[in-house]
Amino acid sequence: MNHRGRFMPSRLLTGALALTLVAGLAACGGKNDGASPSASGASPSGASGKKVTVTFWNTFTGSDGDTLKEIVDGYNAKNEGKIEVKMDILPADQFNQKLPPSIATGTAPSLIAMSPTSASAFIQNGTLLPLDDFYTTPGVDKADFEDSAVQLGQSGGKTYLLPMQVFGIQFYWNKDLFKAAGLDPEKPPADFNELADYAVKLTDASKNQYGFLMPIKGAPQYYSMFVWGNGGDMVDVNAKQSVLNTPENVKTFQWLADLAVNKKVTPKGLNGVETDKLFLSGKAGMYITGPWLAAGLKSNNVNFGVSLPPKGSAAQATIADGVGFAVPKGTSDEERLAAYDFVSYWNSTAIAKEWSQKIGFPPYLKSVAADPDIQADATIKAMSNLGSAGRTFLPGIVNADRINADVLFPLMEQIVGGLDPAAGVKKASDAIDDILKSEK
Amino acid sequence: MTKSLKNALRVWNRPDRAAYLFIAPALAILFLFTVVPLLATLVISTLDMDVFLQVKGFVGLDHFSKLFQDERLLDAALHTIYFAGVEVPLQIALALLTAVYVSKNTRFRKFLRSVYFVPSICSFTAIGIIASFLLDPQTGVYPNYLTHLGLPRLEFFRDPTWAMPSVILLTVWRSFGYSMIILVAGIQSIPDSYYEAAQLDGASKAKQFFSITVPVLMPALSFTVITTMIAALQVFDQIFVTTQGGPLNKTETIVGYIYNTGFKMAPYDLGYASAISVMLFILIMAITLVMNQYFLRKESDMA
Repeated sequence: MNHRGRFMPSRLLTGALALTLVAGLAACGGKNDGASPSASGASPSGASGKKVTVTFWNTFTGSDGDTLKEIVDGYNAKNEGKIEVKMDILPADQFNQKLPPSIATGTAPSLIAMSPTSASAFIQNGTLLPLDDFYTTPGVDKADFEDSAVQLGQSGGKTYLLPMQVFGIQFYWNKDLFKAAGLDPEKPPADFNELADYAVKLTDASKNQYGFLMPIKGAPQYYSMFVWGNGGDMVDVNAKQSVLNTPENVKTFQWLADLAVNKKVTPKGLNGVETDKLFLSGKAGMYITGPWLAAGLKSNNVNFGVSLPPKGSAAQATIADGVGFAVPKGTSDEERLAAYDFVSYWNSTAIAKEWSQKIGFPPYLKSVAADPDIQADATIKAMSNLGSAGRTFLPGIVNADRINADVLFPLMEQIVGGLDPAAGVKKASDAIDDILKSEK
Repeated sequence: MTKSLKNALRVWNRPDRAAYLFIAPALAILFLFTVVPLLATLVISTLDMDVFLQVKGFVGLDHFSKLFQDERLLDAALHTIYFAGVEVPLQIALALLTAVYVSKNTRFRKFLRSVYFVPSICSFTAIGIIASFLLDPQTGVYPNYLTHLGLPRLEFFRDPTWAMPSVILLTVWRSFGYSMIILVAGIQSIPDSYYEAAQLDGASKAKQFFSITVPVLMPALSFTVITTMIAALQVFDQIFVTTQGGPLNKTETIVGYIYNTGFKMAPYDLGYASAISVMLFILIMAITLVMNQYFLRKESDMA
């Protein structure tokens, strides 16, 4: 008894320590649970007159991100003490991975920039706020926006994306390589046959030089302009059904396979970043990608031309795409209005012009398009007018990104790798139908 | 009042009871971060739910019946088995051989021990990124060396056939040092007298290795084999960084597929991803139990 008593204090102490540790842990858990819903945007919300913080996520990881940062810094300096835009630039895959759980846990940013294709999943499950009242906000002139830019952000009669940039996918060619191959450097191929013909002429394996680059992932959906150009399509977006497996589409993919496998006009297995680099280094004759490449080509002193992609047997088609501002569910009205203020600053003539000029994006504000400096820029002018060729990639399909990344680009990968196009197209078509089952 | 407190303390004061208090913090953490998510996964696997935590309905065992018709999952499972089947034996064999060599405490061998262990403290992400640079078919150093040797320019992570072996070698290189250190500790605890007795009996080095080192080392060896196997069946980060499951999905593993289904992009099907996780859990549990039984029997045979 006495013996026991002597050890009592130390045992008591350790026991108590263990208990407090457990209690502490439980308290920690509780505190976190309580804190998360209010953590959306680290702003001191409440009384007006206080500074509002707008957290802004986007995926401008390229050189365009630097210009974006300058613009945001300029905005913050102007609104010192009132509104601060805190920007996080994330790689696209991280952005896609972090955004949904952040919305689910109430820790989402108050402003995001995303493409209409990626946004459709968010719009359909109600995790983006409708933003129609932006256009009636004082200081916003709806008449200055091109209709197409406004429509790009609309779904089911409501606005979910506010214009940030609008573009078409473009056809680039290297004029120096054209000259060296005996082609007219001022004339891009007029149709797919000429494209194939030029691609062979521009390919020179001994110089590690390629005629036409065909990336197998991480690039715009360039294959779709060949499918559309020959009168086909990938998905019937109303019936939510694959229309990929048709004789005309098989022919299109066989034609692409012939270019890649037999005529070896492209290196195998490159992603979009790598094909960008090849074209930027002047090692490739022709390439299809977005307007973002133009700025890099200029700074690399590549003598390039840009136009709409060549015509197919049925039509001339390209992808009309864009990036819009969206506000996730759970954002307070105060933050949303502060975000509107930034968006309207972005869409002021001066800033939109700066973005167009520095990055080379075609303007979607009428006041910018009419600007003499923009009028004088041949590259921007060439990229501004899509005419009737612009089409949207799988509009309104929740799984559009998945169909692109998991089915259609893998199909391109197989075809460039030498697999039978007919069998590949059939399998891809079944895979699309399988994915679309969940949308019916 | 004080009496009842005293009574309560007395109850917990016995060493066998106080032990529960000591493991309580660890248990609490385990419960919060392992048991709760595990149960949540089980529940979610029966729901039609996305990563926004929006539940669209109860689907019962539908996800599990879908598992058996999912070709891509079957492929992913085969790739995982391929990875584990080659990586684990390779890593253990290499770890065992190097452990035998570096277990003697000379200065040089101690140095080697550290050298082999260094990759284990680097993150797979960093190692994967560096490896992708080094092995890049266009700009990498190693493919370039190969061409200097007159060999074909291997595409490593880009070649459907060679991508998985490349990932396996990378994993072995990074992880064998960790297994080695555990085995070195085991080898150093083997009394020298065993070897002296064997030498007196005229046993060769190989005989000593197979008849003394390996049997006495069995507990440490079984631990490394089982933990390596579990890690191999959950392989993800090195593949995510180097090949992202490509080319042609030839390196997509089960965990990679779970990530791809639940987290990568719309429609963020958390329900189905959870069902795959449950299946993987059962698979790993079964394999681990079988291996554990096997090693336990081996150890008791040898004791």
